[in-house]
Parts: sequence; structure tokens; C-alpha cells
Amino acid sequence: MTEKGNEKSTGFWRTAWKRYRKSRMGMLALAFLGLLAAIAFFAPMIANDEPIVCRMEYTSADGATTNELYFPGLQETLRQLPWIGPALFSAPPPFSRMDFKFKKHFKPGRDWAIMPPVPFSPLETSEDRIQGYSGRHWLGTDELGRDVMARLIYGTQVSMRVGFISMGIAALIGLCLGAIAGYFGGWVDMIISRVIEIFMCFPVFFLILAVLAWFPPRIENIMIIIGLTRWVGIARLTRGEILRLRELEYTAAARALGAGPFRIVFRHLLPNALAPAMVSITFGIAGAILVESGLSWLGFGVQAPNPSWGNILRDGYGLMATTPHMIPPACAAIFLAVLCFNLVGDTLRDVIDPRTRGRGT
Amino acid sequence: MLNYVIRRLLIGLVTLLGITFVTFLTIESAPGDIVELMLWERPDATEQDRQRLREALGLNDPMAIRYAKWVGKLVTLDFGESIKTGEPVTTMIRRHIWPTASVGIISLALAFLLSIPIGLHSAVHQGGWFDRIMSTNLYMLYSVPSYVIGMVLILYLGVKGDLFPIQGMYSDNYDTLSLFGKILDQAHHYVLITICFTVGSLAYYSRFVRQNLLEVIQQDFIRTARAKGLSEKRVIIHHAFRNTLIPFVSLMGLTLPFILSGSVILEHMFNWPGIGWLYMESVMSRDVNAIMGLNFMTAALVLFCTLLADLAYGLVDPRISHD
Repeated sequence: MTEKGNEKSTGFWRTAWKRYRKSRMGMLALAFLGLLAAIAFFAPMIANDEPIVCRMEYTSADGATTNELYFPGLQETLRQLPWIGPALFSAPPPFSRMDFKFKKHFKPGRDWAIMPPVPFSPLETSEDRIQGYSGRHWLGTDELGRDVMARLIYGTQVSMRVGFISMGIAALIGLCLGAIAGYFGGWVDMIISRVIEIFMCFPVFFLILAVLAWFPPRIENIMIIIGLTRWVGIARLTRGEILRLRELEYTAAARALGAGPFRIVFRHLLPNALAPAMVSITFGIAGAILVESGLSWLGFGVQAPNPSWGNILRDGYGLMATTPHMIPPACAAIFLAVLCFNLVGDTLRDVIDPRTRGRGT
Repeated sequence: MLNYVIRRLLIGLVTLLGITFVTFLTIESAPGDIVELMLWERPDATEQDRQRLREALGLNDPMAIRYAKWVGKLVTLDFGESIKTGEPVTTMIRRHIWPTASVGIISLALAFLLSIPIGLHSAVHQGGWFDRIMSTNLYMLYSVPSYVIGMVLILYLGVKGDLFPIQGMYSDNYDTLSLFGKILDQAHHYVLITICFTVGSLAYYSRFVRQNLLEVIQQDFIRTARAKGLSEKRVIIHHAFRNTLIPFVSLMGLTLPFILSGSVILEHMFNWPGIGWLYMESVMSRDVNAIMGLNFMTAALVLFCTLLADLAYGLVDPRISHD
């Protein structure tokens, strides 16, 4: 019975999407974010010093000659996936790994290869140090001769990962605590609300820095600490929604049917309280990206030599007089990502909020 | 009213204790040993020396007792001494508070003074060219993090244009300048960092004023005011705008944490010897006492400002009573 009822009432998200589609800026921002996500995922096929596809003849140390098709770039891309990735390590040709160096063994007349558009890896140093924009290095190189474009592309990966994973953690905590506080009320609500208040009026960045001073500044730690400090807004909104929803008749009906508190909260209340939290989560992703870049800029984020937008900005700042060309691209990347998440969040809010519905902002 | 203030102060006290406890707990549970850190430059220290140091720092007590001791000293506003330099933390904070406070106050005032006319004009001429240009620009400015603005300003106005100094509060020859020259020199150093601090809140406030005014304008008492023949100017400024001031006042209190958070990166970037800079230095040298003291101070400041904002709320809007 519930299943059938659910099918009919999927209306909320579908009508929300219908309204969302009417917003040109919202769609544009969403498209750009999709592009960023694609760049992040396909980074090994966009910027890599190994080809996307190649046919290589290779004589190994024991004299056996092979001539096979390889997909190093595609492989690296797919290897990022959970479950599928590890399986690819032991896959048969043409999906097997090249166990020799492409650059060393590639012979132009004999072999062929399709290189990615940016034929450099983000960690690959070269003799072309501190160069401006050019056809070879689109966004120039840094003081170690690394290609800035390649680093920027891999920085996208870092930012997207931090944004989504840390807000995933934050959403999990915020939704659960908010729901518990809103549904049970009483002293549970008292304690959770006080904790929310503590986090609300505290410069969270200070706390994050204090923690990172002692814990190793690894990307996982940064995701966790951002997630642990950014759930407050989500919890507050969820609590408010649940407070409203638990007084409605259908909650009483569910309770009368014998549903336990766990089932009522997670099956009946939370799905309906999700909309305002979604807006907060979208803004939160922008915030998380900002915090990560800021931390990386200060040297507490992603550690060199690994690239991140904040790191690139910091490298450019460190040698301002000689590497000014590194600053605008990194600035633009951070700005555009944040702008688009904010735009999507704003559109989402307009779409969801009944007060602004039909006003057509 | 007095009752309300006392109640709020008590709640604030509990919140403050919570914040210090969270910080204390974080630092306690972190890997690494303060004693090892302090003896970093003294590899010849023996086990006995370490023990003596632990004893002197009171590290042998259980955590609860150490926290109680810290709170006890706090009552007299004593945050202990910096582990790095041995200087009292209070003195350090006093030395570094002016650069942050001055920039903060100037930028807040600027944002306040600029955002009101921008928001007013945009709302009154909604959909006009000014509104459209401003809305787009403010939205973009709102999305630029202050450190990105800082980098762009440093690059184009500081390094390439060579118009403004980008490091510190004074020039090297500050002592040789005349009084007028000193003022001019300092003002020159203030320009870029103040812009960075201002832009974010300016964009936020302007959008806020515009949005609120648009909502107020639709209400009945505005129609009444127009109907009785008041000039449009009077309707907007005396009737509509005054009502947008209410949420605006509390907003100013709420932006303080963001300003403080931003100060860490910005002050580091501009080599500006303020609170954010001090915090960063303390974090880098893992100066526990300084970190605890600064955390307490910023939290207290934010709580105090929220309280002020709430009180001002009641002052501006007589409908809200705090009894």
C-alpha cells in the first residue's frame, strides 16, 4: 500500500525539477557543475603523460615480444571506481596494465598513440620552468616546470571530492541529530540545540585549524573535520521541519498504525523534511570547497606535491613577481565553482520555498 | 530587560564553557606531546628534565583537573603563558588586537554605509538598469571568497600596478616620516586589506537590504502611506526602510564570525599583525595556551556581539520586548 502511495506522490521532486528547469541561470550553473564533475572524474584522460589509447610493441627482459592495444588513461580513470577498479588490475589484454614506461619505449614509426588534450601529468616536472601561457602549456608552468593546466584539472578532483564527501558526512550528522532533536524534544532537544548554538557562534575555521595543527593534514582528515563542523545549519533546518511535520495528521496516523519512532522519523518524516536541508547542503558544498582551498593555501590542506586549487594559488603567491600567470586560473576555478553551487542552491530554494513559488525570480 | 540580559549572559557563559571544552578536548585527544615539542631544540634533555617540565606544566594531573585549573585561571582573565615565547597570552592578544579591530570596524562601517543606498536604489527601481547591473555584480562578489579577492588585488594593484603596498602595516622608513607622512603611509597600507574585508559583507548586506525592502514595500501600511499622499521619498525612507532595519541590525552581529574566520587567511596573506595572524602563528608552533586563549576570546566576542544585536533588535523594534 505504501509503495503505491509513494509512486503517486513522487510529485514533489518532479514538480520541483520542472520548475527548476525554467530557471536559465540555475540550469547553466547545473550544467557547469556537471562539467566540473566530469572533468574531475575523467581527469586521467584529460591530463596525463600517458595516452588514452596506444598500440605498443614491447620486448620484455626475457625476450618475449608483445604487440598489443593498451588503454592507460581509461584504465586510470576506471580504477578510481570502487569494486570495478581493483578488478581491472588483473584483467586480460587489452585492459591489462602497461608494465613498461610509455615515454621510454614509444617509437613513433612503429607504435601509435592518442594522447590526452593536456599531455602532462600534474606531478611531472620538466625543464620548462616558469613559462607563461602557450600552445604547449596552456596555462604555463610553475617553478618546478609542472603544467599548471594539468594541476588545475586534478585540483578539480580534490575540490569536488572534498565538497561532496565532507557535506555527505555533514548531512548524515545534521539530518540524524536534527530529526532526533525535533521528534523527541525535551532534554534531548535541549542538548542538541545547545550544541548547535555553540557551533553557530564560533568561527569554525579557527577550530578546523586548531585540529589540523595536531592531526596530519591529510585529505581524509580535512573531509572529516569539515563534515564534523558543518552539520549545524542542516541540523537546525531539519529540526524545524520535523517539529512542524510531527504535528501533522499523517504522523498521528502512522503512530496509530503502530509504527515505532525509528520508522516514523526515518521513513515518514525525514523524506519530507529533506527539501530545506538540500538547499543548505548545496551551499555547504560551496563552503567546503572554500575551506579546503583556504586550508591548502595556508599549507594545512592538500600537501605538496599533490595539486589543489589552493596549492596552485599559494605557489603563485609565493613567487608573485615571477609566476603571476598562475593566480588568475586558480582564482577563476574557485570563484566559478563557488558561484555555481550558490546559484544552484538559490534556484533550489526558490523552487522549494512555497513563499517564492510562482513569483518567478 | 535586565532579567533578559542576565539570562542571556548566563546562557552565553555555558556556551563559552562548551566551546573551551570542545577546544580543550580536541587538543588533548590529538597525537603529539607538548613536552617533546618544547624540547625540540634541546636534544640533550634527559628523561629527568622531561619529568620536571611535565611537573612544572602540570601535565601529570588528569585531564579534568587541568581543565578545571584552566577555567579557574580564566576567571582572572589569565590564559597562561605562550609555550613558544613565555609571554603572557593576554599581552600577546592586546598587542595584536588593534590591527584586526581597526580593519574590521572600518570595513563594517563602509559596508553599512554603502549597502544601504545600493539596496535602497535597487529595490525602488526594481528591474531597472541599476538594479540589474548591481544584482548581477553583487551576486558574483558574494561568491568570491575574500582570499581570492585578496590575491587578485595583490596581483593587479600591488605587484603589476605597483599602486599599493601589499605587506605589513608600515613601510620600512616609517620612523623617519613626519606625522602626516605616517598617517598617509598607514592609510596606504590599509587600502587593499580593507577592501578584501569589505567586499563580502557589502554584497551580502546590499542583497539583504534590497530583498527586505521589496518585501516591506508590498505590505498594506505602505499602500496606506502612499494613499494619504506622502511623497515617494518619504514613504520609502521613513516608512519602508525603517522597517528593514530590524533584521539588518541582527545581521551585522552574525557576520562577525565570518569576518574573524576570513582574517586568518587575509592577515597571513597581507602579513598583517592582527588576531588572525597571531592565531596562524600559534597554530603553526602548536602553542596550546595561545590557541585556547584566542579561541575563548573570539567566541566571547561573537557571543557578546550577538547579544548586542538582539538588544538592538528590541531597541529598534518596540514590538519586540525582552521581558
